Amino acid sequence: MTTSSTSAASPTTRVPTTSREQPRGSAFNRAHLRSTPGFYRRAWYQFRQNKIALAGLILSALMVAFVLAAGIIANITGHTYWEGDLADQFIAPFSPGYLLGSDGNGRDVLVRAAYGGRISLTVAGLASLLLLVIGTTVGAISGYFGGFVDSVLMRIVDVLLCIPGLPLLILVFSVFTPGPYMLAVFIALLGWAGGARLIRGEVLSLRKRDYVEAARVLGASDSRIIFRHIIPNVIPLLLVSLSLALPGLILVEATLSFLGFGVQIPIPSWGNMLENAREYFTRSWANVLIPGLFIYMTVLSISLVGNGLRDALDPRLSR
Amino acid sequence: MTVYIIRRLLICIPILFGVTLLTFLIVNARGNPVADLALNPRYRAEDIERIRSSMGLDEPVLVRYGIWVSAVLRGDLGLSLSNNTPVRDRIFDVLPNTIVLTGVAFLAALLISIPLGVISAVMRNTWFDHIVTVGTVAAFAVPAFWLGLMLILLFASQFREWGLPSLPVSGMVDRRGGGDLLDRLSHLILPVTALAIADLAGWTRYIRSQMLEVVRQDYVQTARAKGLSDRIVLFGHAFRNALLPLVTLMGLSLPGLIGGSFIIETVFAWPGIGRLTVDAARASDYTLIMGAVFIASVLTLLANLLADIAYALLDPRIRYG
Repeated sequence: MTTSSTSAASPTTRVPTTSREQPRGSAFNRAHLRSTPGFYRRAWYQFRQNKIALAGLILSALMVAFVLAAGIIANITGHTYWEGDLADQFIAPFSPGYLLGSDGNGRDVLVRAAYGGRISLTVAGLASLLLLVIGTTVGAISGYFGGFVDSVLMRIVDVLLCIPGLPLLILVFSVFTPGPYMLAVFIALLGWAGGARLIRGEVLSLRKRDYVEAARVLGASDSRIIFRHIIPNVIPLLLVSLSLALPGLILVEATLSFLGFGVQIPIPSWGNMLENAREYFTRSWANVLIPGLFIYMTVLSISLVGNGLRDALDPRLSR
Repeated sequence: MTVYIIRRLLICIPILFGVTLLTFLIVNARGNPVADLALNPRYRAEDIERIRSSMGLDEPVLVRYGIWVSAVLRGDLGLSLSNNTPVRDRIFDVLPNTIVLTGVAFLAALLISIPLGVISAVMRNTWFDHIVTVGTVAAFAVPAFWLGLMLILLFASQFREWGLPSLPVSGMVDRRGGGDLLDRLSHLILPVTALAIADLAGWTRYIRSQMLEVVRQDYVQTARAKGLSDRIVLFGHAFRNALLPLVTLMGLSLPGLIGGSFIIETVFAWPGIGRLTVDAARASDYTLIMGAVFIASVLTLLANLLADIAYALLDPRIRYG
């Protein structure tokens, strides 16, 4: 269950449900319209009305542009992310040559933040995609077929949901020391359970809809029903979950790297830049402030986009 | 009700078995842990073999799992690999500290978010509401450990520089002559702030929207139409029902709070289960990490159980049995 809501969530789009169950199907259900192109056009229109979400989208785009431009920034400043000049230790931000200052090894914080952000966003993005693929597959199988398969899969979900995420990841990464890509894979492998449960609930309610029954009566195969009739109707929910999972995963990567269990030096990430800055804490507060601000701005802007998407795509989810 | 609680407890048993199996398999996925000894020329092959069998590592994985689980069932979590003390003692020595930290954070978030949420719903679209809304959106996204670091920087170094009173930033008590209630409370302020901020923001938003939704319900309109005062309608009718889903939400946030305490404890040098685990992981003390993950999962299950029971008690519409 998501807890967030912005002031922009207009109360008129909310469908009050007193029961916690998913509403059962009717021929004129809204979900029926979801997969039509007009649905997305209308959602985009609604999203654009939401100024806060739009600001979030612009800020996220700027952040992505910044990390993609890491190479260009490195060229302009003439600094790399791994080489430092020990004569240039702890330079304050906004100094000539070092826009965001330098760290304890005399490395340019701006260049490191750009490369570090690239790693952080790649890990979080890859993890969230994988997580949704696994979650959707498991959720769809579980919700569609039900019975024994469903109960086995849901017990696995129960187990994964009851272990607090961070301790489990610390355990895994004390055993393995993976590179950035495998890090994302591991995070996804342990984090898909919540998404699977969400999708399962949705599929469970879609499965009983009249149009699915109709498709079955017409002789459609299971895979055709799942891929042609159910998945398209789950996509809005997936988009919302993706945009709401991403900020959380950026935080997970940052936390792990900060503790020394995530992205390993010399590869920079916003998390291990903070770990590095912590060692000479009192010498330079800017080194602690800057990577954290990057994490904060990114997480904030993406969650604003997520909230806007949720309000635009699935009014029932907004609270 | 008793039947419901017993059934809920029974469901926990297979889940906990799943937890032990998963953690055991993860730790064993690395293969033979003594193999690295072969790199040391001073170990002979037969020595390595002897060490391996003395640790029970020549048994098949499932047999070893059985041995470990049956020990866990008897309350024995094994010996810590780094100093041979029982894992159970090491965890239970620090567990109360973690419970104090998360408990105070939980209470703080609760006591602040309820009035904030209710007032901003009542004062909808006033400056107060706007400030609360912006503040909660901004606070929800703050990385907790970074906030902790910034608080330490601010209170430990900047405030001292400016001549302002500073707050303690590490540990639970002052090493020199501390230990009274005031000292303990002052050590709690910063870690609790960093730990509670996300839940505080999330809950406030939730309570606000929940209140707004309940206020539109028919029975609230009826109460108002009867001529009851705003205060009675608000607290007697609306507030009680708005709180109901919050119970579930709080149960759901507890795992996050327990997980969050792992990093906050590390940042603030708080001697709890989180810091113990992080230190254990740095020292590759697998038995200790496995024990800590197990205990953290038990805590999570208990928290969820309590939330479910509270929900069933509070909402007569829930059918249990």
